[in-house]
Amino acid sequence: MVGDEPAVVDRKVVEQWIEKIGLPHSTPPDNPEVILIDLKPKMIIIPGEKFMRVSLILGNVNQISTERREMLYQRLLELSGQMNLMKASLHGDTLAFDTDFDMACIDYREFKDGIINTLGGFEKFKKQIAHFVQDGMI
Amino acid sequence: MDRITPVEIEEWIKRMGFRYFVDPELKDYNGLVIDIKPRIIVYFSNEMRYSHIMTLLKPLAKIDVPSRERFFKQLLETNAEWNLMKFVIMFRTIGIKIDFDLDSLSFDEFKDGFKALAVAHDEYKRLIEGQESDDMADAMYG
Repeated sequence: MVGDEPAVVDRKVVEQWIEKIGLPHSTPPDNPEVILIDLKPKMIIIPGEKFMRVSLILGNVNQISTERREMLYQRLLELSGQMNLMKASLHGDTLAFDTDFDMACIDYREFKDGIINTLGGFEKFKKQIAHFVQDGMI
Repeated sequence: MDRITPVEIEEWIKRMGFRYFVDPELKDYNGLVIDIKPRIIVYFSNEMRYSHIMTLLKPLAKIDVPSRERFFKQLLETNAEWNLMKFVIMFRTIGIKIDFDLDSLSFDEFKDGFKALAVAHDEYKRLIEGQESDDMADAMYG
């Protein structure tokens, strides 16, 4: 069911929500657990039992010179302070902006707001990490 | 559901039994300081859509320059492990922050946030600072 009422949310429901928002999506063949949002930058949705995570992929940290990593990390922690419901994270070598949803109370409105917030947050903060783009990020 | 207001949040803080004071430096954020250790501040986004609670852990100036990259990296890696909570730099200070959507916030969720911050603070002491924790979560919340 796609609606504003909280329901049993599983992967199918999340896929229906993504379609309702109108985002192109696919399932990576090497990782059928996740949903890939085919935008630039890429977003990965990882449904879980208690929490679902939306990760907007910024890039690989190895593409940043060692000297500039400290500055980038600090900037990302500062941006995390300014962000609402979103944070910068490091998953292995991959930097991302993550938004977590509590599966116990998520509904379509909250999911849609979260996606818009993630994309809006990226647009808002892109300029502030733009000087790292030349190193190959984003 | 009506959007929760700063006045209601203040009532909730009283209901939780915390003492608090107004810090003039947080005036622009409608901020309050909860009088516990470590300090927790409560403040609001400009448009009053979100409320934030944040521990104040360590001033940026107190982090050794040679170990900064490793320290910041560890915080970002921990962010990837945590749900609904994050390490941030705000007010030139390292802290742990939780954001609440005031359109859907309940008293229980707000109260649980304080306990989550206390547990996270203990984890920070143990894992990142490599110190004995203050067992703040146990002492305050049982």
